[in-house]
Amino acid sequence: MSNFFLYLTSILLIMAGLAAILYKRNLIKIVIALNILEAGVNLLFITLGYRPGGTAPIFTMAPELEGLSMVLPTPQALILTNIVIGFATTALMLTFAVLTHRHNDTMDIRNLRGVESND
Amino acid sequence: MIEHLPILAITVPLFAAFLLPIIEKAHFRARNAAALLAILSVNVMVVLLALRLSREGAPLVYVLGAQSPAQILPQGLDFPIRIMLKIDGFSIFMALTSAVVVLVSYVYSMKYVPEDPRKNYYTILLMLMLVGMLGLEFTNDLFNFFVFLEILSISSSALVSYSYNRKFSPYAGYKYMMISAVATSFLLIGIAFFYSQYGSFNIEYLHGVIRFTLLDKIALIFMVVPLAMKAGAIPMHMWVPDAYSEAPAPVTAALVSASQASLYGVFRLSFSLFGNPVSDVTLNYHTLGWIIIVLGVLSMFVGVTMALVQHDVKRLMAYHAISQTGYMLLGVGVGVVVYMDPGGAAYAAFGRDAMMGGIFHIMNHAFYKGLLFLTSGVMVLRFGTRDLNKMMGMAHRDTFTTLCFIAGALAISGVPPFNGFASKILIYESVYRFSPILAIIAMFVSVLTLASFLKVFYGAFLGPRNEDIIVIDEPLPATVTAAMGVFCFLVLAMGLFPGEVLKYLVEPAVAGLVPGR
Amino acid sequence: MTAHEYIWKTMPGIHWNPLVLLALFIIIALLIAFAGKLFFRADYHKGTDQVKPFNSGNLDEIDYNVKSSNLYWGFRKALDFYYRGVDSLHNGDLNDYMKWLAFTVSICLLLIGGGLL
Repeated sequence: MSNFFLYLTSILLIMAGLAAILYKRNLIKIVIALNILEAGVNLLFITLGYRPGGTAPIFTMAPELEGLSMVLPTPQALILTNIVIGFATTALMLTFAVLTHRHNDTMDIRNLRGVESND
Repeated sequence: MIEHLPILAITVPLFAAFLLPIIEKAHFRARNAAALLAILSVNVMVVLLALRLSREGAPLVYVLGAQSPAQILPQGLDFPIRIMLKIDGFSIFMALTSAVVVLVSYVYSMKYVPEDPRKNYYTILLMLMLVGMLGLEFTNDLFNFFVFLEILSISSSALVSYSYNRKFSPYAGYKYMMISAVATSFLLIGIAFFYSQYGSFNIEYLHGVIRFTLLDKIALIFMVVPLAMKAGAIPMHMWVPDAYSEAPAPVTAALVSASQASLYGVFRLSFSLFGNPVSDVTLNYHTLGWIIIVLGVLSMFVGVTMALVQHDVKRLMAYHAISQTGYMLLGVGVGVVVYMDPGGAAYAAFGRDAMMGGIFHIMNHAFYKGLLFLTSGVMVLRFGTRDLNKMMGMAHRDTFTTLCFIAGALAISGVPPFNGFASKILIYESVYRFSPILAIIAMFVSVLTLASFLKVFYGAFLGPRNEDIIVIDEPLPATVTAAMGVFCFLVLAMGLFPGEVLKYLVEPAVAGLVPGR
Repeated sequence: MTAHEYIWKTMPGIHWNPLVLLALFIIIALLIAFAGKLFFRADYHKGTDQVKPFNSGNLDEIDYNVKSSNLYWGFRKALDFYYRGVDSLHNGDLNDYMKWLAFTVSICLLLIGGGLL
């Protein structure tokens, strides 16, 4: 039952982040939305990687595999990596946002195209 | 030593990259030499790996942290846990492309990118791009696939906005980073679906146990569509001209190769993870192939028609990158449609050729598009603008650049004896046997490609000599000329001897992708 | 193996043989290099007014050029309906780019749900 709420939370986080990415117009808000999306993905991954009642896979001798459920540390390591990468991404994107604001005096992506008309 | 080459090819540039600032304390020439040496050594390693692969015939497997690199399964377990690198023909094909392109663009940027305190970061990031591409292409593990994809996207988006004083450069980097970050988040959702069902990240193991459930197909969509976006396929291609045009010219040449690495991911995941089915319940290859074909044809057409009306030289070339990606998708898509036909007669007759053409086009495209972007760098250097209307008469002063541009323009339009012809004729002939109308569209797109490069040639190279609009009047540095010369040589050599390239590189690549037939 | 056999048997015939094309290219290049006068006009004199571009009315030598954005003007005009649609897609709006990603993913998911893929 508790898993159900975890799934629900992660799906809601992903959807909220995605909706904000699709519709928010401010450079900083888009970065925040990306962080929400990543938090949702991380939560989903951790929940899916967990086996209820599983043990940690630390054995001196290889055990019988039938009926044994293990929680491998790999997904948790992956999520740890993703958190670090997300930090790097956020820092880089905020730097870009600051520089963009410095050059163009606006944070609104409607005024920031970077494209001239082709005519 | 020789058995550890797969991991050395990734770790040598990784460690060398972070040693460079220390070496720079002595002299910046020492740093340049060290970086060049590291990238050259990666090239040598990849070539050695290719030789070893062709000698052994079977894919090379390298297990990290095991007692011996060939020990796939830990004692007492029947599924692999350790991180694995697996190098087959397609990996080595792509690795060779990436390594050569990064080497040439580094040589180009030695003098082209001005020497200032930030040059250290430039070199580090370029080498990290190489690490990302090679790791992406060598790994057999979804975890590492994700990590290397992120290394690749962070370093390339930082490089896109390297000239950060320009008005829109940081915003181009922002766009590229945003697209990469969302794409990798989606990829992670797909990986999570796979892990929850099979409890492993190993592509080869997943390929063996996959049951083609609904969740598997959803996971495949979540993994392949974002990678296709990073490769610049329609209808998610709009970021390509924005990002490519703001980057410095050598970075753009490397970015083309980075996009091809994402395309590698698309093919690798949909063939090595999903393809070569062992059960009856599987993906509908007919529909999948037609989706790829329609996307490819749309990419070709929209890319080339948009390129035709641009007057910003780098945007024009970037739209051609989209258009040429369409050729690869068309070739591979035709192969996929006939792949599951009963008996395999159609696949043997033309499907395999179409696939070979599509794969061969990846390498050709990386080389001639790299050459074209490097010549566009010379134009930007001379005129200080990317606007074709403000350029004229470059053929009077830069004869070698003009020759290189002509070679690249003819290669991209598929004119013999350049390499574009070699892969395009394979695609035309095999696609003609599948459906003539598609081949005719492909040829028409080639004609439009030539027309749009004629426009660049007319605008920038022809016309009277005008000294007033020249910003930098110095002769080109030898490294810039040498880099363009290398690409020019490769474009010509691969066009003159396509048989050898097909035999030693492309056929093993197709065999690595679809081992079944 | 003689050169004749090499050309006729080991490669895909005469239709597409890069070595034959290379030989042809070299022959033509040599011809142009050593007997170029054959192809050119005899009444060409360097350094006279003849060399300068002729333009009636506007005598500005540098600005006489047809700009490269004027090329294919007719093509652009004839396909105006197409270009108006396509240009509005490539407008540099980041939200739109992400919407296309979401759109494509959802279309593919619908295809799977419909059993087509």
